[in-house]
Amino acid sequence: MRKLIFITAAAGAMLITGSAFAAEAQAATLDQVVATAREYGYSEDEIQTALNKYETDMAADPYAYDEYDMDTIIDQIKMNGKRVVDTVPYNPDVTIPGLATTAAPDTATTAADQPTETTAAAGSDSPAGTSTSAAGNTQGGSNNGGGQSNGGGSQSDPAAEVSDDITLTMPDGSTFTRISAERFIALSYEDKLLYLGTFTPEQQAVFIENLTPAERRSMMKQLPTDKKAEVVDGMKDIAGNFGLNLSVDEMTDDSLVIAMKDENGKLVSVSRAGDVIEDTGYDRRGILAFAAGLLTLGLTGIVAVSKKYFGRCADE
Amino acid sequence: MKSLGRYLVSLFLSVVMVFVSIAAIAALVLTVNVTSSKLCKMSDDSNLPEVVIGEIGKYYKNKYNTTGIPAEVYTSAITKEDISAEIERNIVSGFYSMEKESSESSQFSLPELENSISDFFDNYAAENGFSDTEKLEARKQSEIKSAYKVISNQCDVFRFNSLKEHGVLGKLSKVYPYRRVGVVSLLCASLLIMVIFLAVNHKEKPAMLYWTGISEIIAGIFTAVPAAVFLSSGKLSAFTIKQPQIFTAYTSEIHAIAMAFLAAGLAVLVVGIAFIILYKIFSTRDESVAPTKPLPIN
Amino acid sequence: MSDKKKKSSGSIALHIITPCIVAVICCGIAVAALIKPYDKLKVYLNLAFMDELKTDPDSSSGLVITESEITEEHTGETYETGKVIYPTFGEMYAIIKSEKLGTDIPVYWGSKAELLEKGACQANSSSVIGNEGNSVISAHVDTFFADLSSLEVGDVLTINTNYGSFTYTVRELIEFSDTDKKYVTQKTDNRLTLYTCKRDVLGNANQRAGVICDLTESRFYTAGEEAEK
Repeated sequence: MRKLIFITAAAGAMLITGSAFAAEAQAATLDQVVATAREYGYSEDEIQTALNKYETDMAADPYAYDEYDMDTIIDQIKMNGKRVVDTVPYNPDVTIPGLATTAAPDTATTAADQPTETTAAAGSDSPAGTSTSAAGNTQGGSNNGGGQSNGGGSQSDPAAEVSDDITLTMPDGSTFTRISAERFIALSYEDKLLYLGTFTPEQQAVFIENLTPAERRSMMKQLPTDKKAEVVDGMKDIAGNFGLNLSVDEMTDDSLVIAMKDENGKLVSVSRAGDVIEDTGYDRRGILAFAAGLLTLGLTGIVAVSKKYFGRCADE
Repeated sequence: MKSLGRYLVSLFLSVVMVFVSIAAIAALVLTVNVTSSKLCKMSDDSNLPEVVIGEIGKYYKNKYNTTGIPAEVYTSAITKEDISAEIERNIVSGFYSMEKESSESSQFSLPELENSISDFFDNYAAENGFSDTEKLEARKQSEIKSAYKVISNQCDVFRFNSLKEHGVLGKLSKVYPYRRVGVVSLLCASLLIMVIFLAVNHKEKPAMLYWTGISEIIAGIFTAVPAAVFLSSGKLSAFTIKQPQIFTAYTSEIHAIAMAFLAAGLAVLVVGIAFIILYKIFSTRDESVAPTKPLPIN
Repeated sequence: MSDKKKKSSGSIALHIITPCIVAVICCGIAVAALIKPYDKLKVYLNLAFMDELKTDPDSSSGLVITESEITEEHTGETYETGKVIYPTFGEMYAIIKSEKLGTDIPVYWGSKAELLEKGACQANSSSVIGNEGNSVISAHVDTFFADLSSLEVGDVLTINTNYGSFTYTVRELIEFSDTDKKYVTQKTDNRLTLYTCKRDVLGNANQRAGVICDLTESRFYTAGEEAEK
């Protein structure tokens, strides 16, 4: 009997410990949620809005969120990320109009042949977050006034491409190169998918995993409207975890504007896929046309009066 | 074509005279109505000092939870006269700024308020056995300084300090000192145009009265009608300003200015009609002397 | 007699039509001429009632505009690195001051047409003032950024917030099309980008003009974690 009790207690203890260990391994933190959100292209403002809501809710109720909520949110973010971009059929010999190249990208090299290079870090837009490349070119780098011409130009000189390209490392240690983030962003949606298709499925997975937030945002912005709607539904679920309501202010093939409101209907953020140039001039054409119309009417009156009254007198 | 030429020149001058008249009306109304004495009188007539004391009380009641100082410490030590004087000081200072002069008015001083705050802190320290006199004194001075700032801010009913800080008074000070010169210049310009009318229409002198008359009538309508529409539309009450003393100050002043524009516009309209009547009289007299030329306006 | 009557009626008609012609012409001129004074009046009124005096909840979009009183005279210690207080959407959280710009310019967090009526707007996808990166602020050329074109390289601007005061120096004058986003994207250096429409008679401009400024001095009112350590 004592032996049975001891075995039962030991098994129970092991079960509890095992569960606790498993829970500890799975449970995500808020910082992880934030990092994942950044990685998947959510803007700092969207993240901050959610954080503000989180802090407000936690201040009101310390048990408002737990680590399982964080897990759910991360899963939702990743799932939604797949709706934005996912692997496509492998098609290496395709012409991509935006790149004007027919050659497949550099074949993967084995670890023995190439010096080990770090995997492109997918994170913030800062240089530290990007992968290494031959010339250390970074996306989101400092503005050089003239701007860079991205992607649209033809690649007439392969040697010149090398300085732009990013090198990614596969799990087996081999590497492959892809075009720089700026050039990728500059491609149209269809060209982006075509370019992605020039890589093998395994390479595509690494490619997608290492997309920068800016690249993800550009893809999000360029999605066809029906796909955008799916992504927005996913975002609604994510925002719903924080008690935020999303509504779409504008959704076309080239733009996406989402309004975030709290439970009281207060507008807490307006999010746009991609940067926007504001309309900072008043359209005065209406008023000026009205003024011009009045002046024309006046001048017409003068002409009519001149002809009718002064013409008659002159004749007389 | 000579008569047409004179007609067109007179028409052009009439358009100019309309704008000169409107500008003269605006300059005169603003010069007469936007003065420190008028604003001070208006603030007294609207009982603004009482409203300000109420707002100060409200402010410190809200602050009580954070400062622990009852609102009565402040409100019991300030009188209507003190607040009226501070409102006046802010107004005068604002106008001095627009004149690009330094204000000669005395500094804001409320010895009773200082004593009240000081007594409160002393009593509090005595009740709680607080012995650090240096800290206590520093706290007292800080609170007194803050109180002056709050009260001065509440008394700045026309937001002159805010306008000064944000650079608006600086912009206005470029034109404000020349307002009287502007009025005189514009009135002289009107007279000059009348003389030019006379010169252009030398063959038919009464026509000057006609052209002047229609210019004044149009100027009067352009001034009076917008003022009347503004006053009757209730736009003033739609002004959403939280602080009631500022709301009252601005809406009263804007109401006064709108009324002045209406009155001035009507006066100019009447003057224009008078000119037309005179033209009719004089031109009829001319016709009776030389009946063969009824037309046109030359 | 009939000729005389005709002439008389013609005279009366002319006497009546003439003032109508004058009135119509004056109306046309007045409408065109009053556009600029109206814009200026809007600016001055917004500046006068800037500090927590007005609340204009726009119930249809849920936008709540908060107008805070910005600290302009901080007497305590200041730090080079510090804590930024992240603003809420629709909050007036900064004031731009510059001699060249004349009047102060309130800055609202978030871009919306209603906010552009009240002051300058900062794109909420850009960096909050004081944070690393590109802070992008725009305003109407007819109102708050009317004098932006007067800025020259080397001019100094100060931005006051409730968590610090930041000084920028104009580094570059820029012009770009409304489809060219290179100046409004996130950058790695600490810069301020101000832009507005390039002046056009009709007001409908596809071109934007502005300045890029470098951060030259940060004075935070609260120390950052590094300074605290």
